[in-house]
Amino acid sequence: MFGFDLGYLVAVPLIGAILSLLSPIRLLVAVVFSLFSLTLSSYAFYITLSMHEPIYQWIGGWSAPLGIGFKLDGVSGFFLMMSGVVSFAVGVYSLGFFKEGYKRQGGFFWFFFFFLWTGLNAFFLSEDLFNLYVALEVLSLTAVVLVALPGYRKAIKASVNYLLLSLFASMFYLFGVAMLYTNYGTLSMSLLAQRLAGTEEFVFALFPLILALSVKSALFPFHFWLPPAHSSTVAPASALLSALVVKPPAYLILRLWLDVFPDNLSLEYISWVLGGLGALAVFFGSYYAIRQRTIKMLLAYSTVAQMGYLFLMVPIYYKAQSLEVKTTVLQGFALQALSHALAKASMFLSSGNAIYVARRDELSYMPGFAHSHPFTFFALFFSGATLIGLPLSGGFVAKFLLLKASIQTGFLFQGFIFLLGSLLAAMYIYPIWKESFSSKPEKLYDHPIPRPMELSAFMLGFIAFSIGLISGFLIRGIMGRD
Amino acid sequence: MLDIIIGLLMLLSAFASLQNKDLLKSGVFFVVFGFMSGLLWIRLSAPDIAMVEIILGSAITSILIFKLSKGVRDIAIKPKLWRRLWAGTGSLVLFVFLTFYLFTVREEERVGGLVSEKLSLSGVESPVTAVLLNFRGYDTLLEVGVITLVVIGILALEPKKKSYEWNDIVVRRFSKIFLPVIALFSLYITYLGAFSVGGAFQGGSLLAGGLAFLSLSGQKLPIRENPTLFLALLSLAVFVAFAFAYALVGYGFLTYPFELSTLSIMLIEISICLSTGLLLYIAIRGRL
Amino acid sequence: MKELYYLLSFLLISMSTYHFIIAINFVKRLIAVNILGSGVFLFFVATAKNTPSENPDPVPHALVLTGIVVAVSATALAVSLLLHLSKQREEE
Repeated sequence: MFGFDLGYLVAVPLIGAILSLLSPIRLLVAVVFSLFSLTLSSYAFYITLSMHEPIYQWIGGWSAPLGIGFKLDGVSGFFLMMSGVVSFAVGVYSLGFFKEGYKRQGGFFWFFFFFLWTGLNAFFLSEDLFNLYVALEVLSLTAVVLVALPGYRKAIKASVNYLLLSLFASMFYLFGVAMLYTNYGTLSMSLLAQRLAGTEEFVFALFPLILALSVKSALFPFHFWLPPAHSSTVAPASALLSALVVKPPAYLILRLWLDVFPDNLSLEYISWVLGGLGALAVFFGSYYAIRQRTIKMLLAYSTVAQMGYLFLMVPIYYKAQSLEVKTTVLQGFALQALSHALAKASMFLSSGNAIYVARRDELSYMPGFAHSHPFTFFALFFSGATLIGLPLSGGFVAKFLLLKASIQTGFLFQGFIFLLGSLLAAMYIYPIWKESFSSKPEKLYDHPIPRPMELSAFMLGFIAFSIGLISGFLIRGIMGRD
Repeated sequence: MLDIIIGLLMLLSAFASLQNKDLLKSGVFFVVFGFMSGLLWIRLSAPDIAMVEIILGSAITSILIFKLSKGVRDIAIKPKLWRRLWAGTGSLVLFVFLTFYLFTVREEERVGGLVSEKLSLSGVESPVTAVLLNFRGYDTLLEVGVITLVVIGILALEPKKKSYEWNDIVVRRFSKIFLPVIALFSLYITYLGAFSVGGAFQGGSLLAGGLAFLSLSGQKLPIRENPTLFLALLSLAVFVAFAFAYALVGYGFLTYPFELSTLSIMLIEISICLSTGLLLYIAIRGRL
Repeated sequence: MKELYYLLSFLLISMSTYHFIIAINFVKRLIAVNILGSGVFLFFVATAKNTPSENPDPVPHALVLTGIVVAVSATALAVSLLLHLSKQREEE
């Protein structure tokens, strides 16, 4: 087992969270533990690049069905790396951000920051359905607190709405898990996969499970909670939410499809429904994004649209016959998630920069930005290009892979939606760029942005864009399964 | 039979709680619902759950809801017919769907047998505690994290000025007298959890109840803010420390060596009892 | 006989779902979510009892315990947020 205890991935950020509450050493803890956690996630990812079999680690020495297991494989390693890189960058940003304002919240922010990281790692490593429920709660409740952080009425209202809906979904998820336990006597995904084979009863549990996870990842028509929540809070929190928190539930749906559920007719119907809703998410998300007049709401609706891509892939995966096509779909899914995470985080952080500079709370399309703050503009350019899917970017490679898979499986409709989605994204990204070049009085933007904030936003955007070049290397660990 | 009566009362009180326009009355019926649930857990041989449900699920939740009904005015908006219609059909479909599901449920041995088998290796004699603190201890670790997170989150919001006070001399005196007794008793229940019914959360919720009683009358614990925070964080810190330390020395993440398992579990449980009580106290008060 | 417990849990779940969707008031929604939770927990405990052996299955018991604690924590958070909301509304 490579001598590397997977538990460290959970323990280290958690210790960071606790220590960050001690104010004298807060910043030191933030820096040290961010570096430490990033190193751990990167190492875990590195291991998965050359592995042939997933690594299991049974916590406490108790194997399923008695205990809970960690599972590290290509896909989970990739998502661990995604969480690590984005979290780290947002952490760097926050070092600068909370020096300038929100001093009170800044004291508590780091606890939520590290606790969120803990939850993400715990989620992607877990192979126990109930453990996943607890991890989901960790993520959701931390997210709610992050939404409410600034304390404005708008933020608190959005967070309450989010909390109640999220709780409702969690209970349904728990119910689905209870059904599976009742019928099959285990909570472990690998054991369930064995026991489910050849049976039909699990179909009942599908509905609450998939419904709950769809609500949590803001699939159309359950997306209403997302735009107010993601747009009402401070930039680093919005970045974490849109880039990272929405991904795990969608990831879990794919995981369940991949690893647990056997072939079944209802699965085919459900996959079509999910695919259809994904397409609607791309449409309506983009449509509302285009109509927005303020940058944060625009970005939030863009998240709804981009998450739609992830669901669009579900029927393609289900229809795929050969291992090669399945691998392609998985790699596209992962790459799309990564590109969106990097790009969306970068855009939210950049908008945070703009809001900081203009000293106003909301900013309509950040007018005249490019002249005075080129770094932030380039961040916007690179990340926007990734979201659209311009060549060289990670978004481009992801869409390319998915296009290839959809043609190979005959799902031409999906292919069309991918292309259309790019066009729609361009329609809401381009105005941002255009406005940035407009000439407005320079006096608005005469003070500089703190280095950490500028650099981190730029780095994220740059990485998102250049991911395309190293994507072959990154997705090496991801393999489909028969 | 008794169960049918309890079940009917549960349904009635749930319905009354949900239907009622007045928030205060909803809260009252919710307390009744909680008590009935507690009775049902006992009937279903789940005394641990009954304890936690009645204190946390019923008493503390209702304290929280009552605080709300003093503060929040009811919005007198009637839901549109369209909404009622699709909500109604949805729930009906759900219920029918679930009834069909019922035919797939069999009586069978699940993980219970394994637990009995391995119980002697766990370091405790109570099966529930063994599952909670050893076999599936990782869940409990995350759970403790969740409680801690929620309370830190509550602290991070702007501190509230004055909250509801029940300034009655009887309440003030009694809560002060009872608290030490409740504290001792909650520690005893925690300790008892290793052998029979009881455990960290049972004891912790009892302690929380006692502290809630204290703070309802407007009083607070004679402990300053920083020590309170420290004690509140203690359970998470202790739990993570154990998990991390055992990983560091080579046993594995959250893996107790057999000789130390009883001791580890006991220490973790006591810290959970103390912290959970304090955390819920802070949550109800809204401040340290 | 055992099925009745399951049916009760289904009734609670369906009822609270209906009221959750209907309710505009946040407090009502909170109560609905809690009752929903109780319904799911009841389902679990009924399963725990649904074994051939004398003793109930302790695993669902542990899971429900965790679930109750998480639900109460979330409720506490919700209440805190709602109190802030109403305080802000007063100050307007």
